[in-house]
Amino acid sequence: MDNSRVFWTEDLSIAFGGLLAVDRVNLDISRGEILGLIGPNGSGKTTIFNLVTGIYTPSTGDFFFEGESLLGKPAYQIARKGIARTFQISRLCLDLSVLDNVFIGMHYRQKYWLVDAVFRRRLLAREVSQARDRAFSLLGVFNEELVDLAGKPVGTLPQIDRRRVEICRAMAMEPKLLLLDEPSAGMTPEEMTELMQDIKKVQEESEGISIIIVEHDMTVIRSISDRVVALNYGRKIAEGTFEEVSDNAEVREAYLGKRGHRL
Amino acid sequence: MDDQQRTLAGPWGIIILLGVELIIYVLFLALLLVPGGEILAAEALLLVAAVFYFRRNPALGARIQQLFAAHARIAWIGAVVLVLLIPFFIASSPYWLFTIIIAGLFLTACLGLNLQLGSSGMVNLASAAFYAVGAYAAGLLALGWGWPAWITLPAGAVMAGLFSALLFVPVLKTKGHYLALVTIAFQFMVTILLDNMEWTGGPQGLKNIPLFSVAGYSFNTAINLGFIKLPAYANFFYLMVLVVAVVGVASQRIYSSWVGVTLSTIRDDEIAAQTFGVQVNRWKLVIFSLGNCFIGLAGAFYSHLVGFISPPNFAFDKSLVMVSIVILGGMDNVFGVIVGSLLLIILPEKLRVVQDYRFLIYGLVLIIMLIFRPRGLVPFKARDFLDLAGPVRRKRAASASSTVSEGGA
Amino acid sequence: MTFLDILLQQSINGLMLGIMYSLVAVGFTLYFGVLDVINFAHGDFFMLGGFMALMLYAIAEAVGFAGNALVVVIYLFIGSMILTGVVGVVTERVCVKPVSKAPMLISLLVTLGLGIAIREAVRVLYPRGSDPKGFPTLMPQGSFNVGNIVIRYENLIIFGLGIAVIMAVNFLINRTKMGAAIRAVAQDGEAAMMMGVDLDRTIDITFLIGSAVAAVAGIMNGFYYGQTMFNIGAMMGVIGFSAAVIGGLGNIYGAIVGGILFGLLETFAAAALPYGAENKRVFAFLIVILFLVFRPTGILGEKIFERV
Repeated sequence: MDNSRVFWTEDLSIAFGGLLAVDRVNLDISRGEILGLIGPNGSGKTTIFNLVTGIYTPSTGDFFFEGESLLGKPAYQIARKGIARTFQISRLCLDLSVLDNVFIGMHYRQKYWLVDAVFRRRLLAREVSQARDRAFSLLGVFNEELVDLAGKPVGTLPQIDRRRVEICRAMAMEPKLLLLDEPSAGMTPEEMTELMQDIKKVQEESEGISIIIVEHDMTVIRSISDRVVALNYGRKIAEGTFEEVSDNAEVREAYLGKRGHRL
Repeated sequence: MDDQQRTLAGPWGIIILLGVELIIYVLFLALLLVPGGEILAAEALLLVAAVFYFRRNPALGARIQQLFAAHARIAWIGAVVLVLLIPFFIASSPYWLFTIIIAGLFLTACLGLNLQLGSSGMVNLASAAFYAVGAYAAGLLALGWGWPAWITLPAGAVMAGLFSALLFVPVLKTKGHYLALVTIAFQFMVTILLDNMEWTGGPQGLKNIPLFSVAGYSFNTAINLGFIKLPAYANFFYLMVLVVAVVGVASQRIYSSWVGVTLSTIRDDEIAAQTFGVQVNRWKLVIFSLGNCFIGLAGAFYSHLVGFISPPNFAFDKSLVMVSIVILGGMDNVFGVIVGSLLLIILPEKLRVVQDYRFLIYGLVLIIMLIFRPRGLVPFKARDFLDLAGPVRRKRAASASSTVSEGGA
Repeated sequence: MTFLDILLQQSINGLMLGIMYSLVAVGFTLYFGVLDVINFAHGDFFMLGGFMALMLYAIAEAVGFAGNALVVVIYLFIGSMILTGVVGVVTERVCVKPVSKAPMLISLLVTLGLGIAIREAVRVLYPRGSDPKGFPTLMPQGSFNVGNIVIRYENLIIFGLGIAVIMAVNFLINRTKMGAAIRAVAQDGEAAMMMGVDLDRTIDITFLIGSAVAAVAGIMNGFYYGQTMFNIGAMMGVIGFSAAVIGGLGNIYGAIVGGILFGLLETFAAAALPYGAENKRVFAFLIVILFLVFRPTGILGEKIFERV
């Protein structure tokens, strides 16, 4: 099994002003796996994403991708290794068109530079049309209508389509590891079901992509993840199948104390 | 509707299009040539009326846009011809020709500032300082070593680009208000130093900088074409148009390319950009330097246009004017910057009628505009070079890019 | 004079200037706290304060009320503080608050435009407004010596006044109910509102205090240099903002410390560096830039994490 581990962390920790937001967390994910990451608010889920994408630097610990430590690497290099993510609060550029937003996901595959932008318009036209085809096929996976909206500013789209664009943007990077941060936040149950199907579709389309998904909604986690890790106060408190984790006494306490309902 | 579209595509469409361009042109020239403030008031009223009319009939505006899109090439040719004819029509008033050249220089500088401020979101309130670097570099090289103007012009641009390095660390480490403060502080430092250093001439500045001359032809000679005599400024005017064309085409091409997409993302969300593999820092430094090159180019041109520069020419208020041009015109929008420079440079000259009050009016208008139209006169639109929504627009995209490539040749 | 004497003399000069800068910096910090806005027009309120005092003095002279110097000085300060404060509140309502939620560039440019408008209004509306305006001599002249150090009575009074105003502001902000409201809004506007704080009123009061305090600095400046001019605001705005940032934006003590530090920097640069007198501000601004780069949260500021 160890061979198929795509990504793992070793005692990953970070402290903010004395508070341990993430405390010696060990995660690992295999090729093609969907790992659910759960825990009450403030348990460090998003912070882990920020650590492994290079936005924060861990206080201690290390993390590895395809056998190579990415500790201390700047965010853009980590991205180029093949780790893409979405954000809890959408970070799309609302004034830009859908297409522009997806294009930024293809950024580092373009060998295009400032001088080319000014002097090599034909090359650009060719590249743009290729990129557009790819973007359209990505958008089409989610929603055929999105293709027609490709020229519209993202800010004019409904919430669910924004999420889709965000996931498309991440997928445009052709990542090997995809980090989804609460993709269902702010959506109706119907929209959520739709989005879950979309995510499944994405996984089928791109063989072997691994996904870590942070989610509050337990129905999403139950239906989508192969394995679940539960966090509380920055520490890993349980790991296993959804049933195992949801039966765990500590997990229940964490949730009951905070959210007051059973899983 | 089909019928109309066919008409628009045919010769009638072209005639209407050229008519629209001509009307704007005549109104613009009338503003310059008719003395007194009444013409300004009249045209302002006309403009307000037009705005309201188009608001009530958006279809008409859309049709005119379609018209320009369908005949982009002809629209460009028409516009270029009209611009090139400007000196002929205002040959009688060199003062306005000079003012237009100044507007062109501000346009050049503001295209650079727009790359920084509009496209990439880097506040630069030291644009006048980089304008000064270009101007003084050109002046000192010409005076000290006798370099000809066609070398000092690019030299000024390069020098301003090199001076950008002084602010590299702050540009990367600070943003928002703090970057604003850094650049304002830098601006003040440069003006104070220019005032106090001996080798830049101190408060007196540099005098007798040779005006442009290429291969023995001095730009300071009037052009006598037999039937009409153009003032000497016409030489500078055509050179200015050339410079603006080069800088403008380069800016537009950067905007409508991957680079433009990358810069927009950096401006809107640096962290998102990083997580998608964008080397944010590298791009910021490159664009900061390139923008300052454009500004320096304008400064060098200014040196050889007026032949005399001194510190007050490059004070903080010039930076403010440049930033207002970009923001009022419309950020990340080359056309907006053109509109902004024409308005903000030419209108205050026209306002000389009210002499003492014009800066007060300027400040008030700035406030009112920003409160009621914060996105500028020509707001940023989602990039449409990739927009393939309909057949008309597809054609427009294709012909627009081909015209642009001609303009750059 | 010994080296120590020079050091002391310069320190006193620097402190004088520093107190003035602190008074301006306090406004920047207060506004940033309650509205998250940098008011680049603030320097022009400093200038306006001086001109208001001049106007009030002219009126007093015209009606023949320029008798007792002490009474006149008090009248000038109070009157100018009220007038400038009112202008501050009005402009805040009309153009600062409406853009406080807009992108930073817009608020930046609006306040810069406001600065131009105020400056030009003074130049155009004040009789012969383009000329430097002399300040009346109302303070006791002369000086006394402490060892080799010369201290002018006038400066001592100005200095004491500045300290008093700073202490008053500190008292207002930290010891009164009104100040508690201001601090609450600075912490979290919405939360403060839910706790029953009248947001609009608190913002108004903040601008009233900020502008009035800037006016005090403006009058002090007038007495100190013996004259004022319509265009001194822009530079003072940059200095005040710099001082607030050096100290730590959003922190009142920071503004005070920052202002004094900037004053000391300037005076020592002028005295110690070659060509220092002309280029003292170049040096001071250089330090400011270094501060912004290496410690953007200032001396007393706390480290902020960017929320992702």
